[in-house]
Amino acid sequence: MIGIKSIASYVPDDFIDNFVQAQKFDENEDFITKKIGATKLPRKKKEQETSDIAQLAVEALLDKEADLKLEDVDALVVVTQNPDGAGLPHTSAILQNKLGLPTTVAAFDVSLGCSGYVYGLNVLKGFLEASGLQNGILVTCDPYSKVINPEDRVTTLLFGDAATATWLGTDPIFNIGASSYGTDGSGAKYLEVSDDVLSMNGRQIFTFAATKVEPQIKETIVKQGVSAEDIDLFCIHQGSAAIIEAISRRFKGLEDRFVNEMSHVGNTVSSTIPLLLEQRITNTDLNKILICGFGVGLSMATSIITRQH
Amino acid sequence: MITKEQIVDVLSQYGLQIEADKVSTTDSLKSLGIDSLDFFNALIEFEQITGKAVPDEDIDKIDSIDDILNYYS
Repeated sequence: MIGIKSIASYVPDDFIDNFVQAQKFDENEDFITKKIGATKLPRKKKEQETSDIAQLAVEALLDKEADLKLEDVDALVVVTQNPDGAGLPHTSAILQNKLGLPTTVAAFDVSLGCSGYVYGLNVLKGFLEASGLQNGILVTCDPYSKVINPEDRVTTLLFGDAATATWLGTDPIFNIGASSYGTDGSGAKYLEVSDDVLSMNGRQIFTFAATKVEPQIKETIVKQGVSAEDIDLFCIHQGSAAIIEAISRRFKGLEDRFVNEMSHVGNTVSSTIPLLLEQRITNTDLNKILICGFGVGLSMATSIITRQH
Repeated sequence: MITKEQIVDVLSQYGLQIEADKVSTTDSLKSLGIDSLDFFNALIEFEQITGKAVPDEDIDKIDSIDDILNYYS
Protein backbone atom coordinates (compact mmCIF):
# COMPACT_ATOMS: atom_id res chain seq x y z
CA MET A 1 0.00 0.00 0.00
CA ILE A 2 1.24 3.48 -0.89
CA GLY A 3 1.66 6.03 1.89
CA ILE A 4 3.90 8.76 3.28
CA LYS A 5 7.55 7.77 3.60
CA SER A 6 9.30 11.09 4.20
CA ILE A 7 8.85 14.86 4.05
CA ALA A 8 11.32 17.72 3.52
CA SER A 9 10.95 21.41 2.93
CA TYR A 10 12.54 24.64 1.85
CA VAL A 11 11.75 27.86 3.69
CA PRO A 12 13.48 31.00 2.35
CA ASP A 13 15.89 32.79 4.71
CA ASP A 14 14.62 36.22 3.70
CA PHE A 15 11.51 37.34 5.54
CA ILE A 16 9.18 40.23 6.31
CA ASP A 17 8.97 41.34 9.95
CA ASN A 18 5.26 41.27 10.67
CA PHE A 19 5.55 43.63 13.64
CA VAL A 20 6.91 46.27 11.28
CA GLN A 21 4.03 45.61 8.90
CA ALA A 22 1.60 45.84 11.82
CA GLN A 23 2.71 49.39 12.60
CA LYS A 24 1.89 50.41 9.04
CA PHE A 25 -1.66 49.19 9.51
CA ASP A 26 -2.06 50.52 13.08
CA GLU A 27 -2.30 47.01 14.53
CA ASN A 28 -0.72 46.07 17.88
CA GLU A 29 1.65 43.21 18.68
CA ASP A 30 -1.12 41.18 20.32
CA PHE A 31 -3.07 41.18 17.09
CA ILE A 32 -0.04 39.82 15.24
CA THR A 33 0.84 37.12 17.77
CA LYS A 34 -2.63 36.05 18.92
CA LYS A 35 -4.84 36.60 15.87
CA ILE A 36 -2.60 36.45 12.82
CA GLY A 37 -0.15 34.05 14.48
CA ALA A 38 2.90 34.94 12.41
CA THR A 39 5.73 37.24 13.40
CA LYS A 40 7.81 36.42 10.32
CA LEU A 41 6.74 35.86 6.73
CA PRO A 42 9.41 34.17 4.57
CA ARG A 43 9.90 35.58 1.10
CA LYS A 44 11.57 33.97 -1.89
CA LYS A 45 13.91 36.15 -3.87
CA LYS A 46 12.21 38.06 -6.65
CA GLU A 47 14.25 36.29 -9.30
CA GLN A 48 13.36 32.83 -7.99
CA GLU A 49 10.61 31.06 -9.85
CA THR A 50 8.12 28.66 -8.26
CA SER A 51 10.03 25.71 -9.69
CA ASP A 52 13.27 27.04 -8.17
CA ILE A 53 12.04 26.82 -4.59
CA ALA A 54 10.23 23.57 -5.38
CA GLN A 55 13.57 22.22 -6.59
CA LEU A 56 15.22 23.17 -3.29
CA ALA A 57 12.53 21.27 -1.36
CA VAL A 58 12.92 18.14 -3.49
CA GLU A 59 16.70 18.32 -3.21
CA ALA A 60 16.32 18.53 0.57
CA LEU A 61 14.22 15.35 0.39
CA LEU A 62 16.81 13.57 -1.77
CA ASP A 63 19.59 14.64 0.63
CA LYS A 64 17.59 13.31 3.57
CA GLU A 65 16.66 9.99 1.99
CA ALA A 66 19.63 8.12 0.57
CA ASP A 67 17.27 5.32 -0.49
CA LEU A 68 15.39 7.62 -2.86
CA LYS A 69 17.28 7.90 -6.14
CA LEU A 70 16.33 10.18 -8.99
CA GLU A 71 15.99 7.21 -11.32
CA ASP A 72 13.51 5.57 -8.94
CA VAL A 73 10.99 8.40 -9.09
CA ASP A 74 7.95 7.36 -11.13
CA ALA A 75 5.71 10.39 -10.64
CA LEU A 76 6.02 14.05 -9.75
CA VAL A 77 3.02 16.17 -8.75
CA VAL A 78 3.21 19.90 -8.05
CA VAL A 79 0.38 21.55 -6.12
CA THR A 80 0.34 25.24 -6.99
CA GLN A 81 -1.83 28.10 -8.18
CA ASN A 82 1.17 30.37 -8.67
CA PRO A 83 3.07 28.37 -11.27
CA ASP A 84 6.11 29.36 -13.30
CA GLY A 85 5.37 32.05 -15.86
CA ALA A 86 1.75 32.00 -16.94
CA GLY A 87 1.25 28.33 -16.07
CA LEU A 88 1.91 26.93 -19.53
CA PRO A 89 3.84 24.67 -19.58
CA HIS A 90 3.04 23.02 -16.27
CA THR A 91 5.54 23.67 -13.49
CA SER A 92 6.05 19.95 -12.83
CA ALA A 93 7.53 19.55 -16.33
CA ILE A 94 9.95 22.41 -15.70
CA LEU A 95 10.80 20.88 -12.33
CA GLN A 96 11.40 17.44 -13.88
CA ASN A 97 14.08 18.98 -16.07
CA LYS A 98 15.70 21.04 -13.32
CA LEU A 99 15.92 18.00 -11.05
CA GLY A 100 17.19 15.71 -13.81
CA LEU A 101 14.41 13.20 -13.25
CA PRO A 102 14.11 10.48 -15.91
CA THR A 103 11.98 11.39 -18.93
CA THR A 104 9.85 8.34 -18.18
CA VAL A 105 8.44 10.15 -15.13
CA ALA A 106 4.75 11.06 -14.98
CA ALA A 107 4.47 14.76 -14.07
CA PHE A 108 1.44 16.95 -13.64
CA ASP A 109 0.25 19.95 -11.65
CA VAL A 110 -2.76 20.11 -9.36
CA SER A 111 -4.46 23.49 -9.14
CA LEU A 112 -5.58 23.82 -5.55
CA GLY A 113 -4.73 26.13 -2.68
CA CYS A 114 -4.93 25.40 1.02
CA SER A 115 -6.74 22.06 0.57
CA GLY A 116 -4.08 20.99 -1.95
CA TYR A 117 -1.86 18.84 0.24
CA VAL A 118 -4.65 16.52 1.38
CA TYR A 119 -6.01 16.29 -2.16
CA GLY A 120 -2.50 15.81 -3.53
CA LEU A 121 -1.72 12.92 -1.20
CA ASN A 122 -4.82 11.07 -2.30
CA VAL A 123 -4.41 11.93 -5.99
CA LEU A 124 -0.82 10.71 -6.07
CA LYS A 125 -1.50 7.64 -3.94
CA GLY A 126 -4.37 6.67 -6.24
CA PHE A 127 -2.33 7.39 -9.37
CA LEU A 128 0.61 5.28 -8.21
CA GLU A 129 -1.59 2.37 -7.14
CA ALA A 130 -3.72 2.45 -10.30
CA SER A 131 -0.62 2.55 -12.49
CA GLY A 132 1.39 -0.05 -10.59
CA LEU A 133 4.10 2.50 -9.79
CA GLN A 134 6.29 2.58 -6.68
CA ASN A 135 7.57 6.06 -5.89
CA GLY A 136 6.09 9.50 -6.22
CA ILE A 137 7.01 12.97 -5.01
CA LEU A 138 4.29 15.40 -4.02
CA VAL A 139 5.45 19.01 -4.07
CA THR A 140 3.57 21.91 -2.54
CA CYS A 141 4.77 25.32 -3.64
CA ASP A 142 2.46 28.30 -3.85
CA PRO A 143 4.43 31.53 -3.34
CA TYR A 144 1.73 34.12 -2.74
CA SER A 145 4.40 36.85 -2.67
CA LYS A 146 3.95 36.84 -6.46
CA VAL A 147 0.42 38.22 -6.12
CA ILE A 148 0.28 40.05 -2.78
CA ASN A 149 -0.29 43.78 -2.72
CA PRO A 150 1.86 44.99 0.23
CA GLU A 151 -0.68 47.76 0.89
CA ASP A 152 -3.54 45.27 1.40
CA ARG A 153 -3.72 44.63 5.15
CA VAL A 154 -6.04 41.64 4.72
CA THR A 155 -3.51 39.55 2.82
CA THR A 156 -0.06 41.02 3.38
CA LEU A 157 -0.03 40.17 7.11
CA LEU A 158 -0.85 36.50 6.51
CA PHE A 159 1.02 34.70 3.78
CA GLY A 160 4.55 33.31 3.69
CA ASP A 161 6.50 31.51 0.95
CA ALA A 162 7.66 27.91 1.35
CA ALA A 163 7.88 24.64 -0.54
CA THR A 164 7.64 21.04 0.62
CA ALA A 165 8.33 17.64 -0.89
CA THR A 166 6.67 14.43 0.30
CA TRP A 167 7.85 10.99 -0.76
CA LEU A 168 5.01 8.56 -1.31
CA GLY A 169 5.79 4.89 -1.74
CA THR A 170 5.37 1.35 -0.46
CA ASP A 171 6.21 0.36 3.12
CA PRO A 172 5.31 3.85 4.34
CA ILE A 173 5.61 5.46 7.76
CA PHE A 174 2.03 6.71 7.51
CA ASN A 175 -0.87 5.07 5.71
CA ILE A 176 -3.52 7.41 4.35
CA GLY A 177 -6.95 6.41 5.63
CA ALA A 178 -10.45 7.84 5.57
CA SER A 179 -10.82 11.05 3.58
CA SER A 180 -13.54 13.61 2.96
CA TYR A 181 -13.79 16.45 0.48
CA GLY A 182 -15.93 19.51 -0.09
CA THR A 183 -16.34 22.32 -2.60
CA ASP A 184 -18.51 25.44 -2.62
CA GLY A 185 -17.78 27.47 -5.71
CA SER A 186 -20.34 30.10 -4.72
CA GLY A 187 -17.54 31.44 -2.51
CA ALA A 188 -14.92 31.51 -5.28
CA LYS A 189 -14.90 35.31 -5.32
CA TYR A 190 -13.93 35.51 -1.66
CA LEU A 191 -10.32 34.52 -2.37
CA GLU A 192 -9.12 35.17 -5.87
CA VAL A 193 -6.46 36.68 -8.09
CA SER A 194 -7.63 39.34 -10.48
CA ASP A 195 -5.28 41.42 -12.66
CA ASP A 196 -2.38 39.58 -11.00
CA VAL A 197 -3.34 40.76 -7.49
CA LEU A 198 -4.70 38.62 -4.65
CA SER A 199 -7.81 39.75 -2.82
CA MET A 200 -9.56 38.11 0.10
CA ASN A 201 -12.85 38.68 1.88
CA GLY A 202 -11.49 37.90 5.33
CA ARG A 203 -14.88 37.68 6.97
CA GLN A 204 -16.26 35.15 4.49
CA ILE A 205 -13.15 32.98 4.53
CA PHE A 206 -13.15 33.05 8.32
CA THR A 207 -16.83 32.13 8.51
CA PHE A 208 -16.36 29.29 6.02
CA ALA A 209 -13.50 27.84 8.06
CA ALA A 210 -15.19 28.35 11.42
CA THR A 211 -18.47 26.71 10.41
CA LYS A 212 -17.73 24.13 7.68
CA VAL A 213 -14.50 22.50 8.79
CA GLU A 214 -15.75 21.03 12.08
CA PRO A 215 -18.50 18.89 10.44
CA GLN A 216 -16.06 17.55 7.85
CA ILE A 217 -13.51 16.63 10.52
CA LYS A 218 -16.21 14.80 12.49
CA GLU A 219 -17.48 13.05 9.35
CA THR A 220 -13.97 11.79 8.58
CA ILE A 221 -13.46 10.52 12.11
CA VAL A 222 -16.70 8.53 11.83
CA LYS A 223 -15.60 7.16 8.43
CA GLN A 224 -12.34 6.00 9.99
CA GLY A 225 -14.33 4.17 12.67
CA VAL A 226 -12.65 5.93 15.55
CA SER A 227 -13.56 8.68 18.00
CA ALA A 228 -12.12 12.19 18.23
CA GLU A 229 -10.27 11.14 21.39
CA ASP A 230 -8.38 8.55 19.32
CA ILE A 231 -6.81 11.29 17.20
CA ASP A 232 -3.41 12.09 18.70
CA LEU A 233 -2.96 15.34 16.81
CA PHE A 234 -4.99 17.63 14.60
CA CYS A 235 -2.70 19.18 11.98
CA ILE A 236 -5.14 21.54 10.35
CA HIS A 237 -4.27 24.20 7.81
CA GLN A 238 -2.47 27.08 9.49
CA GLY A 239 -4.67 29.80 8.02
CA SER A 240 -4.25 32.13 10.98
CA ALA A 241 -4.08 31.74 14.74
CA ALA A 242 -7.66 33.01 14.96
CA ILE A 243 -8.94 30.38 12.53
CA ILE A 244 -7.12 27.55 14.31
CA GLU A 245 -8.60 28.75 17.61
CA ALA A 246 -12.11 29.11 16.14
CA ILE A 247 -12.03 25.52 14.88
CA SER A 248 -10.33 23.96 17.90
CA ARG A 249 -12.82 25.50 20.34
CA ARG A 250 -15.48 23.35 18.65
CA PHE A 251 -13.72 20.24 19.97
CA LYS A 252 -14.18 20.59 23.72
CA GLY A 253 -11.44 18.97 25.76
CA LEU A 254 -9.25 18.37 22.72
CA GLU A 255 -8.18 21.95 21.99
CA ASP A 256 -4.58 21.23 23.01
CA ARG A 257 -4.27 18.62 20.28
CA PHE A 258 -4.71 21.25 17.57
CA VAL A 259 -1.31 22.42 16.39
CA ASN A 260 -0.66 26.15 16.11
CA GLU A 261 2.83 26.46 14.70
CA MET A 262 2.99 29.21 12.14
CA SER A 263 4.82 31.99 13.95
CA HIS A 264 7.94 31.87 11.76
CA VAL A 265 6.35 30.96 8.44
CA GLY A 266 2.81 32.36 8.30
CA ASN A 267 0.15 30.87 6.09
CA THR A 268 2.11 28.99 3.43
CA VAL A 269 -1.04 27.78 1.63
CA SER A 270 -0.73 24.08 0.65
CA SER A 271 2.59 23.81 2.50
CA THR A 272 1.28 24.40 6.02
CA ILE A 273 0.28 20.79 6.73
CA PRO A 274 3.43 19.07 5.38
CA LEU A 275 5.55 21.59 7.33
CA LEU A 276 3.80 20.40 10.50
CA LEU A 277 4.12 16.72 9.57
CA GLU A 278 7.81 17.07 8.70
CA GLN A 279 8.52 17.99 12.34
CA ARG A 280 6.54 15.05 13.69
CA ILE A 281 7.05 12.16 11.29
CA THR A 282 9.59 10.48 13.59
CA ASN A 283 7.57 11.07 16.77
CA THR A 284 6.30 7.57 17.50
CA ASP A 285 3.95 8.85 20.20
CA LEU A 286 1.76 10.12 17.38
CA ASN A 287 -0.11 7.23 15.80
CA LYS A 288 -3.19 8.84 14.33
CA ILE A 289 -2.99 12.34 12.90
CA LEU A 290 -5.87 14.16 11.28
CA ILE A 291 -4.92 16.54 8.49
CA CYS A 292 -7.36 19.08 7.12
CA GLY A 293 -6.91 21.78 4.51
CA PHE A 294 -9.44 24.47 3.62
CA GLY A 295 -9.59 27.73 1.74
CA VAL A 296 -9.54 29.00 -1.85
CA GLY A 297 -12.34 27.55 -3.95
CA LEU A 298 -13.91 27.35 -1.53
CA SER A 299 -12.47 23.92 -1.01
CA MET A 300 -11.68 21.62 1.87
CA ALA A 301 -10.26 18.14 2.37
CA THR A 302 -9.58 15.98 5.41
CA SER A 303 -7.70 12.70 5.85
CA ILE A 304 -6.60 10.60 8.77
CA ILE A 305 -3.10 9.17 8.54
CA THR A 306 -2.01 6.22 10.69
CA ARG A 307 1.54 5.30 11.66
CA GLN A 308 2.87 1.96 10.41
CA HIS A 309 6.42 2.36 11.76
CA MET B 1 -34.20 39.56 18.32
CA ILE B 2 -31.20 39.63 20.57
CA THR B 3 -30.76 41.19 24.00
CA LYS B 4 -27.96 43.33 25.33
CA GLU B 5 -27.12 40.54 27.79
CA GLN B 6 -26.78 38.01 24.97
CA ILE B 7 -24.56 40.39 23.01
CA VAL B 8 -22.31 41.08 25.98
CA ASP B 9 -22.13 37.37 26.73
CA VAL B 10 -20.94 36.65 23.19
CA LEU B 11 -18.48 39.54 23.17
CA SER B 12 -17.10 38.34 26.51
CA GLN B 13 -15.98 35.17 24.72
CA TYR B 14 -14.31 37.15 21.95
CA GLY B 15 -12.03 39.90 23.15
CA LEU B 16 -14.21 42.10 25.39
CA GLN B 17 -11.76 44.01 27.59
CA ILE B 18 -14.29 45.66 29.92
CA GLU B 19 -16.31 44.16 32.77
CA ALA B 20 -19.76 43.21 31.51
CA ASP B 21 -21.66 45.51 33.86
CA LYS B 22 -19.54 48.52 32.85
CA VAL B 23 -20.01 48.17 29.10
CA SER B 24 -21.52 51.17 27.35
CA THR B 25 -23.84 50.34 24.49
CA THR B 26 -22.72 53.42 22.57
CA ASP B 27 -18.96 52.79 22.70
CA SER B 28 -17.33 51.56 19.53
CA LEU B 29 -16.63 47.84 19.46
CA LYS B 30 -12.94 48.61 18.92
CA SER B 31 -12.83 50.67 22.11
CA LEU B 32 -14.30 47.66 23.94
CA GLY B 33 -11.36 45.57 22.73
CA ILE B 34 -13.15 43.82 19.87
CA ASP B 35 -10.95 43.55 16.78
CA SER B 36 -12.06 42.51 13.31
CA LEU B 37 -11.47 38.80 13.91
CA ASP B 38 -13.31 38.89 17.25
CA PHE B 39 -16.20 40.51 15.42
CA PHE B 40 -16.25 37.77 12.75
CA ASN B 41 -16.51 35.19 15.54
CA ALA B 42 -19.28 37.17 17.24
CA LEU B 43 -21.26 37.49 14.01
CA ILE B 44 -21.36 33.71 13.69
CA GLU B 45 -22.81 33.49 17.21
CA PHE B 46 -25.31 36.30 16.58
CA GLU B 47 -26.53 34.49 13.47
CA GLN B 48 -27.04 31.31 15.49
CA ILE B 49 -29.04 33.24 18.09
CA THR B 50 -31.17 35.32 15.70
CA GLY B 51 -31.24 33.19 12.56
CA LYS B 52 -30.34 36.35 10.64
CA ALA B 53 -27.13 36.65 8.63
CA VAL B 54 -25.45 40.01 8.15
CA PRO B 55 -24.54 40.59 4.50
CA ASP B 56 -21.10 42.05 3.80
CA GLU B 57 -22.58 45.37 2.68
CA ASP B 58 -24.11 45.89 6.15
CA ILE B 59 -20.97 45.19 8.16
CA ASP B 60 -19.87 48.81 8.23
CA LYS B 61 -23.23 49.81 9.77
CA ILE B 62 -22.37 47.94 12.97
CA ASP B 63 -19.92 49.71 15.26
CA SER B 64 -21.46 49.50 18.77
CA ILE B 65 -23.74 47.33 20.88
CA ASP B 66 -26.60 49.71 20.11
CA ASP B 67 -25.93 49.14 16.40
CA ILE B 68 -26.15 45.38 16.98
CA LEU B 69 -29.41 45.76 18.92
CA ASN B 70 -30.88 47.95 16.18
CA TYR B 71 -29.73 45.66 13.39
CA TYR B 72 -31.41 42.58 14.84
CA SER B 73 -34.52 44.37 16.19
